[in-house]
Formats: sequence, C-alpha cells, structure tokens
Amino acid sequence: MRLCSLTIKNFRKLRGPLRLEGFSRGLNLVCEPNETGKSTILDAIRAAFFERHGAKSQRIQTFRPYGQSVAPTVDVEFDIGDTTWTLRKRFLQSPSVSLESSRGRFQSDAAEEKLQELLGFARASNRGADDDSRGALGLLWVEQGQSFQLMAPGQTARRTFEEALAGEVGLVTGGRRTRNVVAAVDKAIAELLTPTGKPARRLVEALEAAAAARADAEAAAAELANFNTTLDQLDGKRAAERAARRERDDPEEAAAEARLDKDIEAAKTLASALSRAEAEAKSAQSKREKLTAEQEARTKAEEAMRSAEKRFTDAAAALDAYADTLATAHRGNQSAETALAAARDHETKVHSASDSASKALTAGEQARALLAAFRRLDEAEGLAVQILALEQSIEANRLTAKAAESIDELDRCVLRAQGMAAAASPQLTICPEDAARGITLNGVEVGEAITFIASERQVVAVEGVVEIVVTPPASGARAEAERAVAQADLKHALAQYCVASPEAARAEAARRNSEAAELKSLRAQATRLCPADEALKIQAGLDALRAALASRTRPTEPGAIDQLEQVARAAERDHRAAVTAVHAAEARRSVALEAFQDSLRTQERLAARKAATKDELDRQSTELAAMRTRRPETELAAELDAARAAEVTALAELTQLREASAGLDLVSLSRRRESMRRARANLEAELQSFATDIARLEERARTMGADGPASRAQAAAELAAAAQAKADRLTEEAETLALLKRTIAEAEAAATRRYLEPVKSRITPYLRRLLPTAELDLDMEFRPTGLVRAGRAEGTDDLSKGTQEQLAILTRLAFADLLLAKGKPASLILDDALVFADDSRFATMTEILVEASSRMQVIVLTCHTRAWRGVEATRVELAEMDAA
Amino acid sequence: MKFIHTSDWQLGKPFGAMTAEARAALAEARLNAIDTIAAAARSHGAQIVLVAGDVFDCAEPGQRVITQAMTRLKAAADINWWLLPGNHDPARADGLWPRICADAPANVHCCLEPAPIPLDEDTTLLPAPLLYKRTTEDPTAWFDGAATPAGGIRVGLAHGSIRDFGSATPNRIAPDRAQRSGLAYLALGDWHGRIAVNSATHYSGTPEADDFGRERTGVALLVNVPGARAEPSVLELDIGRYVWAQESWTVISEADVTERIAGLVPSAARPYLVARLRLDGAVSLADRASIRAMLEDGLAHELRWLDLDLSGLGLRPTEDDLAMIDTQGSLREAAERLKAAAASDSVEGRRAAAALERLYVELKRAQA
Repeated sequence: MRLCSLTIKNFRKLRGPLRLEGFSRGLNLVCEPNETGKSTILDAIRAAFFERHGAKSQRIQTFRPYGQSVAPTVDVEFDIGDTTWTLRKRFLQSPSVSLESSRGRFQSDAAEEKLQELLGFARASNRGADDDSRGALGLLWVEQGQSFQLMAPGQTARRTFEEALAGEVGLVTGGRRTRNVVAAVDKAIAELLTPTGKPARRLVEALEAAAAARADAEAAAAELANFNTTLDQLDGKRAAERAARRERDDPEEAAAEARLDKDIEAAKTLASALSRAEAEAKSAQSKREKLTAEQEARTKAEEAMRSAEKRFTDAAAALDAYADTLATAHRGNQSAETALAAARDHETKVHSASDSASKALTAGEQARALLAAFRRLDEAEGLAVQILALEQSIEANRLTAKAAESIDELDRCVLRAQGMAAAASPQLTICPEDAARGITLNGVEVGEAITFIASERQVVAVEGVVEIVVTPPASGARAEAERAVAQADLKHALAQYCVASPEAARAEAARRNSEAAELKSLRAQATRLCPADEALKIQAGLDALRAALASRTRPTEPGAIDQLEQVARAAERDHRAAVTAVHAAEARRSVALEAFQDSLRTQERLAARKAATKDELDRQSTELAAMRTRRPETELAAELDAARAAEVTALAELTQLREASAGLDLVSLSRRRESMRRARANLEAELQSFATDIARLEERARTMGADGPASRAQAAAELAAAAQAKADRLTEEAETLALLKRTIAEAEAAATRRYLEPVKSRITPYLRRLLPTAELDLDMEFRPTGLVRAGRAEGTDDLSKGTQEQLAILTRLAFADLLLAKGKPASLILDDALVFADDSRFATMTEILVEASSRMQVIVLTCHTRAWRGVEATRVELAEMDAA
Repeated sequence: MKFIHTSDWQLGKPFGAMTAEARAALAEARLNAIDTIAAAARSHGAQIVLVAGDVFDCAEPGQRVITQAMTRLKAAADINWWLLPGNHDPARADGLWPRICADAPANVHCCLEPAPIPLDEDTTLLPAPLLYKRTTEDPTAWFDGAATPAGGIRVGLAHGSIRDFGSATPNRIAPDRAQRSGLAYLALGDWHGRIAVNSATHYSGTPEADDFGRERTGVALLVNVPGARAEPSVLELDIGRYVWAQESWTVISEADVTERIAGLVPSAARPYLVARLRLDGAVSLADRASIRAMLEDGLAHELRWLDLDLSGLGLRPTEDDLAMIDTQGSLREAAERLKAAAASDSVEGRRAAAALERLYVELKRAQA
C-alpha cells in the first residue's frame, strides 16, 4: 500500500487547503518544525480512513478548526497493488465520502464498506473509531507519543494478524463467532452459576423449589404418618376398651366376690373363738409355769444350803491349819531384827576410827606442802635481788644494739671519707737525710720521715735551699670537707653515748647484750620457782606466793607420812566391811518382815472367809425354813399336778380351733376383697377414659382424613421428585456449559500459543541487530511482555523509554511484514518516532527502516531535521494551496 | 342379570411428574369416566355397576375428591353403584370408607363387610373388601361357604392378584375361585389392563388409562349372567378418553423421527395422547439439534404430556457438523476435543456430547 498524496482542509489547525504530494513507495520524510501540524496530518489520514463520514460524536467535532462551523475535509490518493484510489471524505457539514478508482466509484456507506474491505478494518462505532475497529493499519500508523507504547493490538488487528498467520499455523482463533458463543455460554451460565461457581438465579430457584418440594413431601409424609398413627391408636384404644368391658361384665368375677364375702364372715366368727381359747391356754400355762418355778426355787435353795455348809466347814479347817505357819514367820522376823541392831553398832564404832586416821593424814600432808612453799619463796627472793641489779645495769647502759649499729655506720662513713680524701690529695712523704737540718713543713721542722695526705696547701722548706709548696687539687678539698663532716658526726655520736671510741661503744653494747640474756634466764628461774600450788590454793607468781605465806608460820618438818597413810587406809577398809555387813542385815530383816506380814494377811483372810461362809449358811437355812413354812411340800406337789392337767386341756381346744380357721385368714381375705373392689373401680375409670380418648381420636381421624393426607403425601412425593429432576437437569446443564466454556478457552489458548511463534520469529532478526542475543516474549494478545537478554528476563515496563519505543517499532515492523507476506496492505507511519534513541541506536533503527522501506512505504513525520539529514529518503513538504 | 363391571378408578391420582395443566386434565378425565360409565350402563340397560376396588388412589384422598366422586355417582340416580375397598383404599376403621358411607347417596353402596348382599331377587353379591393394604389370606376364601338362596346367582366382587408373584404376593385370589364357590361371575380389580382369566372370571382394568404399557385398558365390561349355571357374556365398552403410549425409537436421522412422529398412535387425537418416548441410535449434530427441537418444541406441545428421554440418543458428528462449527480455528479445536470426549460412555462423555450439541446450537442460533 502506498499513500500518494493528501489534501487537507479545515482540519483542526490546518485551515487552508494543504497538500502533500510525491510520497514514494520507500522511505518518506516529512521534516517540519514544531507547531506546523505534522501530527494533525496523521490525525487527518486516520480520520479519512477510519472514521465514518456521517459520525457526529464529540471526537469528530474536534476535527473542526476551533470556533468555526466549517466542514473538515480530507482527500487521499493511495495505491493498493496496481490500483490507485482516491478517497474524499467530508465531515459534519454536508458529510460525504467517495472512493474512486479505475475499478469504480463508491459513495457514502458503500464507499466506507469498500474502504474497510480494502484495508481490513472494521466499521467504527457511534462514538468513533477505536483500537478495535481500526485494525492493523491503525496499529501501524502510530500517533505522536504512542510509538513507545507496547499495547496489545485491537481485536480487528489481532484478527487480521491471526488470519495472516492462519496459513502458517493452520489455525485461527475464533474471532467474533467464538466471542459470540462464549458470550452466549457466559450468559447461560450466569443464569445458573455465579462467577465463583455457586448456584445462580435459575439454578437457585430450581434448587430452592426442589428443597421446598422435598420439605413439603416430608411434611405430607409426616402428616400421613401422624394420621396412620392416629388410626392405629384408635384401633388400640377400641381393642383395649372392648377388653376392659369384657372384664367388667365377667360373671366369674362377681361369683368370686360373693364367695369371698362368705368366707370373711366365717373367718370373723372363728377368730373371736380362737382369741378366747388362746387367752385361756395362756392363763393355764402361766399358772403351771408359776408353780413349776416355785418348786424349782425350793430345790435350788436346798442345794445352796448344802453347799454353804460345806464351804463353812472348809474355811474353819483352813484357819486352824494356818496357826503354825504364822508362828514360824514371827520368830524369823524377831531374829533378823536382832542381827541388824548388832551390825549397826559395829559400823558406828569402825566409822569413828577411820575418821580420825584420815584427819591425821590430811594435816601431815598440809604441813609438808607449806614447808616446800616456804623454801621456794626463799630461793625466789634471792633471784629477785639479782634480777633487780641486772635491770638497773641494763637501764644505765644506753648502748642498745641499735645505738651500736648507728655508731658503726658513722665509723664506716669516716673511713670511707678518709679513703676518698686520700685518693683526691697527694701523699707527701718527707724523708730527711740523716743530719739534715732546717727542713720544715709549714714552718714546723721535720725531724724524721713523715708521710701524710696533703689535703691542704703544704709548704716544705729547706732553709736556705728550697721552699716546696704542695697545693692539693680542688677535688681534694671537697673530699677533705666530707671527711671532716663524717668525723664530726662520729664524734658527736660518741659523745652522746658517753664512749670514747667506736671500739668502746662496741664493747659496751656487747656487755648490755649479755646482761639482758642473763636477766631473761633469771626471770625464767623465778617463774619456775613460783608455780600454782593446788594443795595450798596459791596462784602462780612470786607476789601471790609472798602474799599467801605472809600470814603463815613456817612449820617444822612433819613426821612419817607413809605410816599415817597406812593407818588411815586400814581404818577405811574396816569401815567399808562394817557398812556391807549392815546392808546385808537390813536385807535379811526386810525379807523376814515381809514374810511375817504375808502370814498375818493370810490368816486374816481365812478368818474372814470362815465368818462369811457362816453368814451364808445362816441365810440359806433361814430362807429354806421360810419357804417350807409358806407352802408345805405336799400342798405344792398337788397344786402343780392340777395346773398341768388344766394346761393340756386348754391347748387341745386351741389346736382344734386353729385347724378350723386355716385358709380363712381374715386379713388376706379382706385385702383380696379390697383389691377386687379397687380393680373394678379402676376398670370403670378406664372405660370412662377410653370413651373420651376414642371420641377425641375419632374426631382427629375425621378431621385429618378430610384433608386427604395419603393423597397429599403421594402427590407431594411425586412433585418433589419432579422438582428434583428439574434441579438435576439444570445442574447438569450448568456443568455442560462450564465444560463447553472451558474447552473453548483451552482450544483458544492452544491456538494462540501456536500462532505466536511466527510473529516472534519475524521480530527476532530486527531485535538481534539492536540487541544481540536478545529475545522478545509476547503474550497471547501479541503484547510484548518481556525481553530475555543473555538468559536474563526483564519486564518490558522496566526497560528504558528508548528501548521500549524501539521494541514497539520493531514489533510493528514484524506485523507489517506479516501482512505484506500475506498480500495484505501495509504501510508504516511514525510520528516523531525515535526521539528517545541514542546515536548508535538511531543509526541502527534508521538502517532497519530504510531496509523496510524497500518492502513497504514508510512515512516518518519529524521535527528533527538534522538527525535525519544523512538518511536517504523522499522528502515531502507541506504546500499551502490557494484557498480558491 | 345385567351389570357393568369396572375397577381401579384410582380417583385422586396425582401424576406429580407432569405439568399442573396435564395433572388437572388427567384428574378430571378420571372423574369423567364415572359419567361415561353411567351413560354406557344406561344405554345398555344395566342398572347396576360393580366397582372391584381401588375406587380411590389412596386410603385418604381428601374430602374434595370424595365429594366430587359422590356428586357424579349421585347424579346417576338411576344406577346402583356397588363400591369395594381395594388395596389402594382399604376399608380401614375410621378411614375413608366410614366417612363415605355416612354421607353416601341412596344409590351408592359400600361393601365393607365380607357378607352376602342380595342384589335382586335372584342374585346375591359376595364382596371381598380389603381391610388392609396387604393381606396374606385369600379375601375370597369365605365365598366357598357363603350361604345364598338355593338356585340363585352368586356374583363375586374382589380385588387382588390371581397370579403368583412369589411367596409374598399379597391379596392373592385363587384362580378357580369362581368354580370353587359356584360363582356365576367373579368381578376382579387390581390389574389396570383388561384380562379375561376364564369364562367367569374377569379383570375389567381401569376405565381411564393411567400408565404406560397396558395392552388393553380404558374399558368397562358389560356382563350379562343368564342364570346360576349359565356362562356369562362379557362385552368390552370403551370408556377412557386418553391413550397412554410408550415407544422406543431407534433413529439415525432427523427423517426417521419425522416419520415416527407422523405415525405415532394415529388412532388417538394428540391432545388426548400421553406418550413416553425413548430414543436411541446415533445421529449427526445437526439432526440431533433438530430432533430435539421437533420433540421438545413441537410434539411435546401437541400432546397432553410427553415424557421424553433422549439420553440414549448417541451423537455421531459429521464433517458437515464440524464444518458448520468452523473449518479450523479454536472453535473447531474445541469441537474436536468435545467429540473425542463424547466417545466415552460415561457421565463425562454424555456431558461432552451435550456441550458439543450446545456449541452447535449456539452457533446456529448466532447464524440465524
């Protein structure tokens, strides 16, 4: 397809007739500055082709120049194949369209339809053309600012591509027919199912109707069951009533009751006779028992008296027999008493002898201890005098070890200072020759040889011969001064401790030290002489000893302690033996006493028993005598015989009466009659209640039956089944529709996947020139969705504007190639495209466009004159025409 | 002695699966049968009608049905109606029958006791009312020893099965009861089809058909008993208005169905025809769609009621069918997929066939 020329009039800002002509089949450039109306030219082309001439929508109104009521007019000349067509379209005011070629001339709607057929787009809606209606060319004629958009092609364009691809992939997606079917299916499903698959209106109604019918059927069935139950109850009640009535009217029962009444009367008569006989028998028995008891009591009393007699005799004998035993015990006690008294006397005597011996021993020991104490004191006092002398001597001697040490140190200092002074000053030796005279040192004549350290200026003169001056060096003076100080310190210290020399000081210090050692030894001796004395109760220490002995006289030497001790120990032994003897005598006396006391108690008990048995014997004998007096033996025997005979008679009569009344128990008979009467009363009440129940149930059966519960139950069950069947049918229909929809969607997806491949394969060569190794992904809608570079995927939205624009142009080129390959009209118009491209990309893109222009017409509208200057292209200029 | 023998009126039968309109019409037809029987009796000079059980469809049909029936019976005042409780409407104490008896018009007699009833000077009726839905004893057993005037005609009236359908067949009647009991005629009910058991024993069948698959139905019997030992003459009288037809059609094309529809029970007028059709075979998509349209949108509306079962009708899509859907593209692909799925004889297969048919119909509709 080629646009050849274009004439625009009254279209937006392009008022005066404007003509573009000379478009070539290849690359065409319309280079104009901003604001000259390049974009309006593209709008006019799109309007001429895609908008219906008769449309009056708001968008069409905008074609008019602002504020003018003129008719926007666009005339286009274009080639398709070998045919040149002239399209004239006038909008709004006397709208018209004409399409002419050598093949014919079309007007109005026919022209519009011919145009759609030629270029493969769809009729625009009343609101105007849109992406859907414009078709493939709409996608290829890109408006300003749209070129970088990676939009999905509209439905018509998609359809065109799909048709173009059909030959290659052998499949076409359904297009409008598919959409219509899917829409119809959706609509049908919508009546049955919600988008989430829950039942919708029609199905809900059917399901509800089914549920309601089911509930109705259940209710009717329940009602019928209720009715049947009522009838069953009625049957039951009637049967029960009949049984009750039979029972009530049973003659057997009446006869039984009469028999019972008779029996009760007989039983009553017998009962009174029986009670009388029982009373008599009881009285006879009581009398006999009383007499028998008396006889038994008498026998018992006789026996008791005999037994008492025997006990008394035994007790008296026992008492007599015990007298000897008692006498023996008494004698034993007396002899034990005597032995004890003798032992006690002996013990008293021995005890006082032992006491005196012990006292004598103690006094001897005391005297000996005291004497030893006095002797220790004497010795200690001697030591005390020596200690005092030593203490005083030490006190007077101030040369302690420390003082001696400091004097030694000072002495060492003097020696050190002297050494230093000697080292620093010359040593001067003057050795006068024998008979030499007149030799002086510092004016003092020197007789014999001397040697000294010359620490000061020395003048040695030999009178008349020579004067030699020796001057020590300055360092000698300082050493000399230090020496002098040290000597002065030593001298001062010696004076302080009143000693003449350091040697004297050392001797003094040694003395003081030896004295101190001696003092320590003496003090230790003194301490040993004054230990604590337990015997005399004296504490340790000289002062305590002195104080303790001050008031005591020194005793004389005591006698032999050993003898005293022997005497005392013998006396003690005797005393202990005496005490043991007393204890033994006491024990023997105690045993004898106890034995005696026991014998006494036994004797008392025997005496008491004798007395008691005597009393018992007397009592029994008195009682027996009283009985015999009250009723003599013979009289009692006669009365007892008579009573026994009377009892036998009464019992015989009683047995006879009891036998007669067996089986005529008045209580159980009365109870039986009572129960019979109660049963009859209950039966009557039951019959009453049956009558009421039956009447009630009859009424209920009548009322319920009139409604026809069985008929209703059956009808309701059948209706419920029918309603359920309808709901099932609708559910199945919904399933069927869902299956159909799913299947169509799957088929479409499969088809789309297959035809995407050829589009991708056309884009790839272009893309590789721009981005080597890159690959573009398309979605089902042909929308570029992602770029894969070196195995890494990027979303197209994340790419730069420039790359996005370039990808969009390449995709369109691929679409255009696709159309061309199928012999469909294709041309590319780019309005201000590639504005985001860098120089290198721009160069590549223009190369691609130039190459493409060998296959199809490419028109570039641009304001970037310079950028396109090097590109080989037909340059088309806007030409204002004469308004006439 | 001349009388009409009928049975199984089943008044109040609900026909719940049908539309309300069809239900009303069929219910009305059952009541109308009473009038038709009365007219037939009159025209043949019979004053007695014996109804051998199942006058009502159920034990409690409701007062409205009873009243409507009584009104029609009463209207035929010159006819004496002898009604017998059957297994559908047993004479249960306090049930339907005591109520009917209480208000019955003078010409309506309820046979509620198994006891002889003199019909006229010569004839005694021996009724065997059913007291329960099911009884294991033969309800006619008492006929053998029933005392009737010597030399008189004994007519039995009973409801139950002659044939043995297994050990538990209820209400079973001895097939030779008429011979055993010396009956001149035994009028039986229970079977809705008319059956002549032997010369003296007959099922009349229901006077108004109410189900499919009966060989002969919709009649009443005019019985003439010349004497106690004479063989009765039995004449079938057409009473029913509706014809119930059940057919199974094996078809391979639309033309088959057109032909079968044209030949469907030509004797019955369409508004009085109740049909149950079951189609099998396999047809093209186009045929199936038009067959469905013909039956559901055509015949179903012509008939009183059509019970249609197309589930057995297989689908054999032709190349034309598929081409109509599309020669290629996703719709064709979808059609091919559904066709493949429809080959399976399963719920899913049938659903796929239905979906394919729907696709075809939708496209056809869009085309129209």
